[in-house]
Amino acid sequence: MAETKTLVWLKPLKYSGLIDMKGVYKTMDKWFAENHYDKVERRNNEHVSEEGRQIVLELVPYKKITDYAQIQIRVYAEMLNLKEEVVERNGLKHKYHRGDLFFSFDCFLITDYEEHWETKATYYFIRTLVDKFVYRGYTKRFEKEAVSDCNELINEIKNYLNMERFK
Amino acid sequence: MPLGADKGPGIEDWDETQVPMIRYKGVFDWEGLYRLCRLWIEDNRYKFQEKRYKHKGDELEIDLTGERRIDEMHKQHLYVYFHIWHLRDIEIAEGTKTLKRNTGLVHVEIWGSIEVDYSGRFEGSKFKEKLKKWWMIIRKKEFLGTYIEPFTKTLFDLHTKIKTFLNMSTDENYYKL
Repeated sequence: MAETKTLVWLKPLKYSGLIDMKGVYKTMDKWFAENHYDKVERRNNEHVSEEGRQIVLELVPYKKITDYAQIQIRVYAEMLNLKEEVVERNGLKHKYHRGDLFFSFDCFLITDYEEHWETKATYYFIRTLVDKFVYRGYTKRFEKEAVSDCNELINEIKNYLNMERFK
Repeated sequence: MPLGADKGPGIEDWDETQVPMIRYKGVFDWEGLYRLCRLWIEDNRYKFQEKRYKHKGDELEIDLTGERRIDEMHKQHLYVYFHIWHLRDIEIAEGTKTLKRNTGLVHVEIWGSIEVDYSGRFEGSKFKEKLKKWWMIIRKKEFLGTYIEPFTKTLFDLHTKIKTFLNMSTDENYYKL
């Protein structure tokens, strides 16, 4: 199994009010595509009832930095009590949802994801030595990049939701 | 997990935990959804096959597969797995029309794999098998870029179309071909 280091753990983001669901999803999708992340949608549950929509979304995109290390960001989103609302703006009608949004962000650095250095005990030992003494600088750089990417994604979503608040 | 989905070499990094899964509970058009998947598979030049149809009471399990030869050495395999619970027929009024729809909990999984050397050119001797192993190692990056990435985007296209058909709120897709 590859070695996973947790860099960001359960960083929350809450929002209540008017939400353009498609816009939020599109913002995340666009950010991942522009930052060269491979899309992985692990879960997408939607429950439609008379009380409103409940959506549970889990995205786990990853980016291979080298053939040894990859960054994985996990976005877990719960959208509760979403009720459709039509808002008129500049003479045009737009469909939005009003409800509560809860995001949780995790970020991981996965090393040796191809599991080349786990087949034998000697390889494992050499890998640990190299990681600790030789490759340290590179690992620190990858960790910085991972945390920076995660924070950038959170800010992107925050900015989008804040813009919606003032419309 | 769809039947037969784990046979042969799979898409890099696509394992059980990373299969896109859609779950929807509400009103939907089951016939339309099935037709959408079937037409998508056929329109994208895959050989369509319904591997399994299991209907027991109000529970339904269906496996759809698609197969397409890309070139002499590579073949794409596509699997769409439907599992529906509490499937019921209902009628809804839309304007002056009465439409037949269904309710239930829909679970969809989409999976793909690329079969390398489907015609067995690298089979027959130990030397050929070792040659194939080294060939795959040498061309790994090209394999990812030329075969796996476009196929992944194709599968996400079907994934998005299913979500749009079910009128889900997360039916955007920036990963277009």
